[in-house]
Amino acid sequence: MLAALRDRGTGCRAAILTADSPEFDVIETGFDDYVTKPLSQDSLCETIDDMVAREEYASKVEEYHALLAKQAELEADMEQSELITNDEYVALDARTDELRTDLEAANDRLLDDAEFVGTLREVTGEPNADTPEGL
Amino acid sequence: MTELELDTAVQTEQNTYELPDITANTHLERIPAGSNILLSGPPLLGQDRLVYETLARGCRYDQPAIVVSTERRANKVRSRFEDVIDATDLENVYVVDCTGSGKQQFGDDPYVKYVSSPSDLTGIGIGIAKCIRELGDEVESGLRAGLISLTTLLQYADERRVFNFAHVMSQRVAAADYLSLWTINAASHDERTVNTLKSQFEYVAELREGEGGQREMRVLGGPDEWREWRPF
Repeated sequence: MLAALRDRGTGCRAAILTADSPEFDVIETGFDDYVTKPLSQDSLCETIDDMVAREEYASKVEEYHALLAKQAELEADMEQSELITNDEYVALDARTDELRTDLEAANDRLLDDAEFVGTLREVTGEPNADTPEGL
Repeated sequence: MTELELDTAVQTEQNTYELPDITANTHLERIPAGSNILLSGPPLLGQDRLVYETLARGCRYDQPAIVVSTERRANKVRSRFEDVIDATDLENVYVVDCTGSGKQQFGDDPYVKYVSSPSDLTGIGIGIAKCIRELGDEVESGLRAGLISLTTLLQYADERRVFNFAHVMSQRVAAADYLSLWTINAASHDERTVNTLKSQFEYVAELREGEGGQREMRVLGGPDEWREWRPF
C-alpha cells in the first residue's frame, strides 16, 4: 500500500499504526512516522504536528540551498567590490544568514534517529509534483 | 596549575578532537567538537589517508569511527585500519558500504551496513543511524565520521540532493558534538557546486602539490584561519 501511495507521486505523508513500539525499523521501511496503539486523539495530533514540523524544516533546507546556489552564481560573475553594492546579493546574504541561524537553532531535532532519517528522506528525494522546484 | 586551570584544561580536551601528527605543521591540530571538515584537492594527494589517520587517532580517546565508503569495499576499508590500530580497536570501526557490491558476498556483518548505491542518500543516513544505535554508550566520548567521497555522490545524485544530504548530516554532527571529514576532488565539479557545498563546512582544508612535489595544505574557516599554504 505504501508503495502504491508513493507511486502516485502525491507527496503525501504516511504514518503507520502499530501495536508495539517498533521505532527505527518502521522508518527504515519507508514510513514517515508511526503511532502506537491504542490510538488517541492526542497521539494522532502529535504525530501529524511532527510531520508538519519536519516538512517545514525540509522546505527551509530547500530554500537555503536555492539561495546559496544563487549567491554562488553571482559570486562567479562579479568581483567582491561589485557584490557588496549589489542589492540582490545583499538581500540574498541577509536571508541565507537568517535561514542558517534558524536551521542551526533547530538541529537538535536531528539527534532523534527517526527524525534524522525522515528529514533526509524528505530533503534528498525527488521534488514533489506540487512543490515548484527552485522556489 | 591551579584547580581552576586544570578544570579548564580538561574541559578543552573534552570539547575538541585531536588530529593526527601529519597535520602538525598546519593549524589543524585540535578541532572543536561538532565540526565538519571538507578536504578538497586532486586525487592521490592523501585526502583518504588523512581521513583514515584522523579516525584512527580517535582510538586513543575511545572515540569510535564510522566510514562511509563509496568506492572501496568495507573489508578493504577495515583492513586499511589494521595497519594503524590494534585489533581490539577495530571493534570500534564501522563502515557504511555504498559501493553496491558487497552484500551478497559477505552477508550481514555487525560492523558493516550495506547501501545499494551511492545514490541512495537516505540509505546512507539509515546506515549511519544504525551504526550509532549499535555503538550505544560507546559514543559518549565522541564519534569520528569520514565520508569518502563527495565526488562519487555527485556522480550519482544531483547537486541539490547532495547539498541537502550534506546539510542534514553536518547539522547532526554539530548537534551531537561529533567530528566529520569529507573528501572532494574539486576539479571534477563546477566552481558554483563546490562553493555552495563548502558553505556547509566549518573548515575547508585545500590540498595541492607544491613546487618540488611537496604536498601542501591551507585551511579556510575556523577561529584562526590559515590562508597560507604549508607543507604537510
